[in-house]
Amino acid sequence: MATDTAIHTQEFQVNMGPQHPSTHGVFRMVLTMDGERVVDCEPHVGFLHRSMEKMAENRLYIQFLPMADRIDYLSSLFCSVAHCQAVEQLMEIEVPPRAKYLRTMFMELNRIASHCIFFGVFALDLGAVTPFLYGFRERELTMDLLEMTTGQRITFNYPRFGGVAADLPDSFFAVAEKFLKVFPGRITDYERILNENEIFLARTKGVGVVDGARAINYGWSGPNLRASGVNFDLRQNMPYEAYGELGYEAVVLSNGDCYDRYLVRILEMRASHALIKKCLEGLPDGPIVKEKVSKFPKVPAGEVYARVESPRGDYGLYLVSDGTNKPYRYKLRTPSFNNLSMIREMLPGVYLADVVPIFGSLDVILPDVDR
Amino acid sequence: MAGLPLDHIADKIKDAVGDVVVEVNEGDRVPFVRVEANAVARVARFLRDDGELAFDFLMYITAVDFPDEDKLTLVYYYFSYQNQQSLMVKADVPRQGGTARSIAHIYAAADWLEREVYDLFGVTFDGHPNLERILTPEGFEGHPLLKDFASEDYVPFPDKMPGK
Repeated sequence: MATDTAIHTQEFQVNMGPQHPSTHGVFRMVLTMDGERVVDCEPHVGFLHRSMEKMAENRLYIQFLPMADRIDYLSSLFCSVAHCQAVEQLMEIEVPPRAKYLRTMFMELNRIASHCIFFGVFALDLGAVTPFLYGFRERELTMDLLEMTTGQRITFNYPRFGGVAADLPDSFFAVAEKFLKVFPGRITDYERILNENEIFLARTKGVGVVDGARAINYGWSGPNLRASGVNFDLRQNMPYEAYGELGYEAVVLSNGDCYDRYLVRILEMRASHALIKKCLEGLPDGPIVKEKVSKFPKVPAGEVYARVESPRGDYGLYLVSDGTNKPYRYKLRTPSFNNLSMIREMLPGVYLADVVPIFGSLDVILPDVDR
Repeated sequence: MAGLPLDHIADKIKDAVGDVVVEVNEGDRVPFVRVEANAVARVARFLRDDGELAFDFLMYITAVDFPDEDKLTLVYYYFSYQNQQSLMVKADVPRQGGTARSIAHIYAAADWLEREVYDLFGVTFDGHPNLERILTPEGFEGHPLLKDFASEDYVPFPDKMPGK
């Protein structure tokens, strides 16, 4: 009897997640492997689906306001500001200038907090523990500032229809000044620890390259898109709140690899720092909330799309009102959902070890994907 | 919003795709073009490939349920980086058995977005490579964002609830 002596390879499957520490929430990938190489990837999302849209359609506008913070809890302010913007546009409420500045400043603080987590967690995914501690140290400073004003550290429930909930306490300015003073040096620390780190470069440079056209076709937005060379940032191109007066220039890089996606966010932290400084310097006096706006509004019938630049990208809310006190249709366009959808095409051909940096560099957060 | 006038876009669609435009509405805040449901894919391809319009970015697909009129309105929201302009395209389909041509081969983003609309509203998309539920759990029945889906009555995983 002849025996088959040829060497055969056999594809096998690796299940990654849903409870894998590098999946930033609960995300499951079934990877088909040929040795160390990924052949196919089958992503599964929806583990964190909380039916946010259905809940919004069954609640008063004010009742959903604190829940909007939970859509993407790392950048919660953006979700609730979009909620308020949509209602304000339909009711034709003009937000007082001071409230616009306060919203803008706290959104930028929130962005720094979110990017700090990205910096720490991305490095941790690659096996570096120190940046994780650094990132959380500076996030703590931004949280302190937010807590002083809003009373909360993660889900702030800060904006209101026609303004914001609370003005800055007197003690805020000294703490803010201290933060503004130390933070640029801390970003320099970040850059010195990773930017030219041999291991970090080997694992991120040229890994997971996506060009601009493909990124647009997959609906990418935010830092991921700007890392692929597309010069678009809502704060620059379609300014809202106080961004028009402050002026902003988007951070754009061109390589579209994991390293550039990391670097865009580091540079954006510097840009956010500059914006916060400008906000504090130019902070107008006046009321923080428009007078005589009902807390339980009946929103005039109509449609509106509110769009903000969240740390993860182009966050939008398509609101259809039928003239009652509840939304008729509340569609969330969450950036992570589209950013993640390319993972299936990005992974085939890479090493298993590269799956983690590629996924981590997208900075998706699963509650934002699943809603 | 700056950019090309809506009438001009509607005329171009008519010239290229045929007489499929049902309504052109400047609207108060979100201008839209309503087209026939069987033409959404042809319109999408034209909007993306036309050099002047260049709506290369599909922001989202969703639907709005109108049980009184017995229809679902599909909503496609496009954005053009070239013109910095957005465009909403709507199409009406019946509430039961509503279907439209998939645009996943035109916009890769539509793959997951169409699965989401199928999952939450029950609209099917012809030619979609993998039209399965995406957000709701396996074995889920019904389409939760339809207005007659009562969330109060819904019990997740009934066989795993204590006392059952």
